[in-house]
Amino acid sequence: MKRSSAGAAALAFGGIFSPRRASAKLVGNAPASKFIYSWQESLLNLDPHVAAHIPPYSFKLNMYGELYRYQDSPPKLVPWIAESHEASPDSQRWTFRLKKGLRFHDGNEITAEDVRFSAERVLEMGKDVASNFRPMMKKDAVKVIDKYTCQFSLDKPIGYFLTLVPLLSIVNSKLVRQNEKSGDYGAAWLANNEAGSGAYKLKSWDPATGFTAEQWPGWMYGWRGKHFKEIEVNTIVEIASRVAGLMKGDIHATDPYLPPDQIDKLKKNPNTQVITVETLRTFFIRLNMIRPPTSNVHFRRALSYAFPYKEFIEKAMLDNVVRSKGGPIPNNMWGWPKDLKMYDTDMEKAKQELALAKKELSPEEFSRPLTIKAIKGATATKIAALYLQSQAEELGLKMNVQEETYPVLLAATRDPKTTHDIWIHWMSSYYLDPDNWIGKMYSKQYHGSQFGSTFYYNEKVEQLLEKGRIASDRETRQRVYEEACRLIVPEAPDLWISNDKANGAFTSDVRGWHFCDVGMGQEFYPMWRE
Amino acid sequence: MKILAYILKRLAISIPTLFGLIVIVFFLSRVIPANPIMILVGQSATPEQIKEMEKRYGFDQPVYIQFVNYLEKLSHGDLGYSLRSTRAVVSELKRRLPPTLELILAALALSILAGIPVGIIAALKRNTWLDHFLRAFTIAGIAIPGFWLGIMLQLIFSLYVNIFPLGGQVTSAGPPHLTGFMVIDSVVALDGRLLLDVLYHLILPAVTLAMPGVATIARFTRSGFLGVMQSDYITYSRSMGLPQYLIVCKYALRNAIVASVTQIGLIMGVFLAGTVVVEYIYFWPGIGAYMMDVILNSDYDGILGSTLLIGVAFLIINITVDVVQAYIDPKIIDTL
Repeated sequence: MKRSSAGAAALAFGGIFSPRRASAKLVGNAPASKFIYSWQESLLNLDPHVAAHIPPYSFKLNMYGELYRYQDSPPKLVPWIAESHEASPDSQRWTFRLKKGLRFHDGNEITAEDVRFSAERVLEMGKDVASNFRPMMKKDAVKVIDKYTCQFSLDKPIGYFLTLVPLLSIVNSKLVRQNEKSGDYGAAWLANNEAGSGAYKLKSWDPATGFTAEQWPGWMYGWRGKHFKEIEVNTIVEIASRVAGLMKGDIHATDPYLPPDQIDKLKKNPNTQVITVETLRTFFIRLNMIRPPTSNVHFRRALSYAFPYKEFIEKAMLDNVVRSKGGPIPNNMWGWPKDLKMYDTDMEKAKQELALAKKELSPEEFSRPLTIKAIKGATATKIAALYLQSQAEELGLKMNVQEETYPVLLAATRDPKTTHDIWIHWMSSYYLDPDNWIGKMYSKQYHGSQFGSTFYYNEKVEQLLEKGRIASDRETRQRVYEEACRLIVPEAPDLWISNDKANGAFTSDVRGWHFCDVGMGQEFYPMWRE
Repeated sequence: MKILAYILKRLAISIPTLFGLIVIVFFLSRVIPANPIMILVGQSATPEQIKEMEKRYGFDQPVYIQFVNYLEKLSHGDLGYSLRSTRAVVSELKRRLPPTLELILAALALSILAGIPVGIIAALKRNTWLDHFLRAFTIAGIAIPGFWLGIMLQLIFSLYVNIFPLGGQVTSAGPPHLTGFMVIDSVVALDGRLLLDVLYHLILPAVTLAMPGVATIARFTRSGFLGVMQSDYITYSRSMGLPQYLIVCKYALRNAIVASVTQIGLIMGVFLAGTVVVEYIYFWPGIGAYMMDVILNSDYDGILGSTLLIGVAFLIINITVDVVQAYIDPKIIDTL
């Protein structure tokens, strides 16, 4: 009797836990109408006016709308909530006319007042998104002309203002105001709720796991053709777990910046596909411009000639990046001169430059051991640091490699005394204009922040960058940025190594992915699963 | 009465311990040369914007004033504001505590249910191949790092054999939120399929977390059992011709597992620490994963709040163990 009970229990256990049953009923296998996307970083706050970095775009691009939106790669600016725009001849006043009859998820019509309120809210809250607007506008910069027209009056002329407009998500002002508490602009409420007009409407959210959203029937482009009925965005921090989840089909896509070995694994797996696109994300090694020995131009040039670009790109990154051709400006962005002379690996030239540096620096300055800082958890930065260290050793220079967390690295850049000797990071696309790269990294106004961490200063370059910001015609701006590139590159404040490729990793049944640099292809409306 | 006074004394001692913890964690987190405001305002912020926000959030004040402000907020039960999520730390912890407790309790149940039988079998089969095998297993249980074991279990049981999910707490939407404990909430919702799904998700993380516990309890049970089985009353029982199962289950077991029971408190501490790694691997939405996130992002109030919570949990566990021990052996009360 005992034996038969044990046998029955074993059968029952085996029945419940059999692979077939588990995979069919419980593990993964979401219907084709559902799309599950995993990112390594948690979405901790749903407010579209807080964070401007990449992960929150999975929420913003699907739940909210903007006046203009970037689409495709290379990105194009497409009127979204706005119908058209007009800039004053001096690029200081920008007028936007809205499409009529567009609605928020609660049925309220989108009006110019919502745009005004959204801009005021961003500027008053002063978070990440505001950092892009504050240098040029005050909280009362937007005026409502009529129900469907609003005007942005900037503090100074900004030729590229339109490229910033996609950063401003338009929120439902009536709904947010209803949930305002002690003048917080509805911040506490919007951190956990949604007040948008995007293709999808929030269904559930948990800061510890992620969100789900469903099709919104009132979406302005409609739902003809193939689309996901439901989307889920969740957090899986560990890379190996995300890759395993994708191979197993528990998730259908993950972030496009997996390490090269994982991309290789996914390319070989029959259940997954990798779609590769060259992006505007640049990767570089930054040199301290104010502290010897890197304050010396010959020393910096020696390092620029010493770095093994080809080896790094082919052997370490397995060709998942491409060599930088535009110096401070990405290859696929306009503004850099096509005949720009970049540094190639040449140890002889490196030695010649180093000999010149040795003459100009004191022995203590020249032989001071340097520290290369890499970002903890970002393997590419560590590999690049080790390559540079190894080449420097061949030149007789002593360099140490240290890994630190990103907040620690960032904090050190505030002060010229504490900023790094050498450090390595990426520059993402926040708005698609040369100013996003060259205008921030080599301008004095960013000294004391990540972008100005080298404390580079050249009066002529400073004037050119300011001219580039103000000018409204593309031809003038092209000339200005080309000239700035020609001045900056010979000074070698950075080692411009590569431009990233985005490797969109999906299960093999996913279709319709449109990569775009701003938001990293996290707009799910055009996609479907076969 | 004596035991009540003992509990009060232990509670009184824990207050300076907690204060010490707050002081150490507060100042240590400030010593790390990070600036959470720079994360809040983002990469595009100019130095002026960074300064303005530092002022708004009180980071421009001397550290000791920041500490006094923190204590004042703490006295009102306010654990501060997470700069990373821009939400109250209390609400973050409230959400994440039940999953962690659920995982720890599951691991504890597994440790007891597996550890005690393994220990008994090893003792009864002393110096046989089975005993050697089980002893090797217990050593491995303590020695194998949770990170490695977790990934191996995922690879084998989730990716290759495909009988368990890779991670997470539930496949799709969980039960209606009542207690935050998915198992309890599924039972309350009377949803058998959901309960099964929740248990599926719980098994691999609980096994990974439980391994050191299984090993510890098995080792203590084995050694306790060997001691008891050599005692006079067991020899007497054997000479009386009582069957082996009766001697083991009725007479030996109770005395043999006293040492194992006192280990449970220590094991709970090990589990609390272990959740950081296990939750990270299995994307379990608990306190451990949250701690990892706030530490890596220098989110000061998040670090303080979660450390304080873990500290309080440790103190409660220690006091409970001390009280249980005092109950078993009243002489301990006089030593305090």
